[in-house]
Amino acid sequence: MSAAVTDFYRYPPNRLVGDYLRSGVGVAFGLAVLLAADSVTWVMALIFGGLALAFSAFGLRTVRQHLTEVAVNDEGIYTRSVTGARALPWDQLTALRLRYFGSHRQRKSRSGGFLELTLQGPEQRLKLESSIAGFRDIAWWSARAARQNGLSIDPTTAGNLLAIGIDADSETPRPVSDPDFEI
Amino acid sequence: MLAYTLRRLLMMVPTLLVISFIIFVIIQLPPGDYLETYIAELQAQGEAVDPAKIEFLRQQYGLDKPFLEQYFLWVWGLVQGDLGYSFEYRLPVSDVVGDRLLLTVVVATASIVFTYLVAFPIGVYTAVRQYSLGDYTLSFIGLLGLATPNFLLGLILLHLAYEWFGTSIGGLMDPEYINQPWSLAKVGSVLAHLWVPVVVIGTAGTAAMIRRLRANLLDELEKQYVVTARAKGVPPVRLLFKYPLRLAINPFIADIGNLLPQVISGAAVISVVLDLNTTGQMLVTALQSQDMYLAGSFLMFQSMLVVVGVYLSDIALAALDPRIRLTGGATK
Repeated sequence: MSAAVTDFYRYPPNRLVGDYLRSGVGVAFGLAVLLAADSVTWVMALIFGGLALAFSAFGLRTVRQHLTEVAVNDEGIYTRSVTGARALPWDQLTALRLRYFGSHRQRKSRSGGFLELTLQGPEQRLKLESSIAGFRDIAWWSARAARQNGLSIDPTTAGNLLAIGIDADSETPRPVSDPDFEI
Repeated sequence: MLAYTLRRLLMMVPTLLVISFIIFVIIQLPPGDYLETYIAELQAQGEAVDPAKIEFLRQQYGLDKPFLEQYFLWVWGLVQGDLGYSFEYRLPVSDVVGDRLLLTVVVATASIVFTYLVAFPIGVYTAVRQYSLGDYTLSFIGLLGLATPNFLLGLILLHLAYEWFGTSIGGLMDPEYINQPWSLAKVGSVLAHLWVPVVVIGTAGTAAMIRRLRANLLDELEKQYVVTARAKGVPPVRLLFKYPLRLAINPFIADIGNLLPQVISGAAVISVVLDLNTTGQMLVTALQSQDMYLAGSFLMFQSMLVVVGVYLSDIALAALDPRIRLTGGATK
C-alpha cells in the first residue's frame, strides 16, 4: 500500500450482532435437537446436522467479517483478515457488481435487506456487504475505477449505485461526510 | 447469496414455531376435547359411558396434562418425525395418513407447474401480440377458466376422462392400487388420474397470472430502454428475454408463496368432490372430531409447504432481480 491518503474501514461489531445471534441460534438449535433426540434417524441427521453445519459456516464467515479491515485510496483497495491480505489496484479492476438481497416483504416495505459489492480482479474477487462502515465510499471508489477502466456496468449495478447516490456514468462528489450506508 | 440464503433459512425456524403454536391454540379453541365429542357420540347412540374408561383414555392420550406441556410434547415429537397419535383411528398419525402427504405434495406441485406452464407462454404472447385475435381468444379462455367453479369443471373432466380414456371415476389411482406398495404400475395409475385435479386446481390460478404477467410485460415493453434497443436493431426475441421479461416475471416468482396456500386450500374442496386420497378430506374430518394431533400434523405440514414456498420464491427473486428500491423507505 502506498503513502497516498488512505481510509480504513471495518464491519462495526454492532452490525454483526444479528449475524452472530443467527449463527449461534442455528447451530444450537440443530445440535440441541440431535443431542436430545431419543434416536437420530438419517433424515433428522441430514436436516438438523446440515442446519448446524451451514450455520457454523455462517458463523465463521461472520468472524472473518469481524476481523476484516479494508483500506481504500486512489490506487486500490486492500483487505486484511484472518485468511490473509489481498490487494486489488483500481487499474486492475475487471468487473463491478452491486446486488441487493431482500425478501419479498422487505422489497415491498423498502426497508431491510442488504447490498453486496463484488469487485473482480484478474486473480481475485472481493466481496463486501453494505453493513461495513464506509460502504458508500468504497462503492464510490469502485464506480470511479470502473469508469476510468472503461468497464461495462450492468443496468442492475448502475441502478443500485444510483440508489445509494453514486452515478456510474459521471463524476459524483465523494461521500466523505456520509460514507456509510444502511438500509 | 449464500449469506442471504442462510439468513432467510434461519427465519423459517421461528416462523414455523410460531405457526405451530397458533395451530395448537386454534385446534384447542373449541370447548371440550376429543373425548367429550366421543362421549356425546356414545350418548347419542344410547350407549353407556364408563367414567373410569374415559379417565383412563384421558390419561393415555395426555389430555389431562396442562396445555403448554401438551404443546411442547407435540412439537418435540414433530421435530423427531413423530406426528403424534390419532384418537379417532387409534393409530399413530403417520400410519393413518399413509401416502396422503406425498400425494398432496404431488398434486400441489403438479398444479403449480401446470399453472406456470400455461400462464407463462400465454401471458407473454398476449402482451407481445396485444389486441390481436390470439390475445382476445386466449384472454377469453383464461377468463372462462377463472369464472368456472372448480367443482363443476372437476365433474365435467371426470366424466370426460371416463368417457374418452376409461379412467375410473374419482380418486388418484385405480381402486386395486389403494393401500398397495408403490410400483411402476401404481405410479402410472396415479399419473393417469392426476391430470384431472391438476387441471381443475391449476386453471383457477392461471387466468389471474396471465393477466398479471401481461400487464407487467406491457408496462416494461413501453419503457424507453426497450424503444432504444429496438431502434438500435436488437433482435426482438433477444430483447424480450434479456430485460423486459426478466423484470416482468417478478410478481410471477413472488407468487409462488401465495400460490401454495391457494392450491392446498383449493385442493381441500376439490379432494372432496373428486374423492382424492389427499389430506383435504381427512383434515376436515379430523377438525370436526377434534382429533387434534391428526389435524395439527396436517396443518403443520401445509404450513411448512407454504413457508418453504415463500423461502424459495425469495431466493429466486433475489437471484432474478437484485435491484434495490429505496424511494420513501430507506435511511442512510
